[in-house]
Amino acid sequence: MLTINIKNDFSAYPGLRHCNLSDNSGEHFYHELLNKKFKEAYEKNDRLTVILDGTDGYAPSFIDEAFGNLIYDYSLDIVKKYLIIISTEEPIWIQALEKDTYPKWEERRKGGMNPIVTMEHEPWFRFVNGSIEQNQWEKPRN
Amino acid sequence: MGETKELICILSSSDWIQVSAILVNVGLTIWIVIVLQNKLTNRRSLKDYVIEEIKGFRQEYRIFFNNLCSNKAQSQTVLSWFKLMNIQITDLMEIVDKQYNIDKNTLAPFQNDLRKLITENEDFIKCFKHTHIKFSAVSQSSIIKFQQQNYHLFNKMIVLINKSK
Repeated sequence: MLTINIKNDFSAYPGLRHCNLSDNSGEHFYHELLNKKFKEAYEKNDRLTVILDGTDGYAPSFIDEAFGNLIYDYSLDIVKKYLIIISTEEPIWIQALEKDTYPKWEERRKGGMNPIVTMEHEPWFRFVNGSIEQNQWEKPRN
Repeated sequence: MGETKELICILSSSDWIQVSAILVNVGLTIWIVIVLQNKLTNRRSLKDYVIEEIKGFRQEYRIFFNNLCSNKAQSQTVLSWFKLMNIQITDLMEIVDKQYNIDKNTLAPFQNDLRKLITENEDFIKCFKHTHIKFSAVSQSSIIKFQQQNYHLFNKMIVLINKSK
């Protein structure tokens, strides 16, 4: 099983939503780690476990941006099938994702309302018409 | 000894019933005093403990709000403070829910909404990379409004716990 432990693999001090607002942002985490690892899980028909525990705490915007982008790029059905989130310290994040982030970003995906990026990222993966494609889907707006 | 034997022989069956009734009453009284009183004391002790914890949370939030409004809050510690408070409140609310049947989400505005209000505040975001957070008058008034709308929840919980059996 593939695992991302945010504290060990990313940062013990996660920041805010976008890269232009703070270090270790949700946007950064998504493009640096989550998008790629999730693609690996999907291709191996395995599940990706993301462990939220152990960090210094999260801003809701970090969680929303990171996992919201995942919904946007892969769709709610696929994310639900291949993603496991562990948050024993603050189970509230799982509820917040399921009640708020997932439906909101799925709507956004269906409505074609593109995610915002605040810095250049390497091409990343997106599920398009039944297959995964890699592209620099968004660019920072000036 | 001989007198006791005589007394036992003199007692009629109705007397025996009365004696048995007295013994049962004495037993019941002892049981009530020892067992029930202990249970009631334990229950009261648990209530007092939970209420003290809630008062402690209220005090923590009071200090936090004061620090925010006097620009003493440090951006690096805010997220960890929220996490710590959230863990403590969640633990206590599990007990409150099980023992007193009080909704464990009663303090959710402090656990969720406040964290969102602060961390998505423009001033907080601007100051996140710096040491201290300076809130504008507009931000401070939104924090005060939150307090006005939600501070009563602590008292509400204390009343509900006291009222519960």
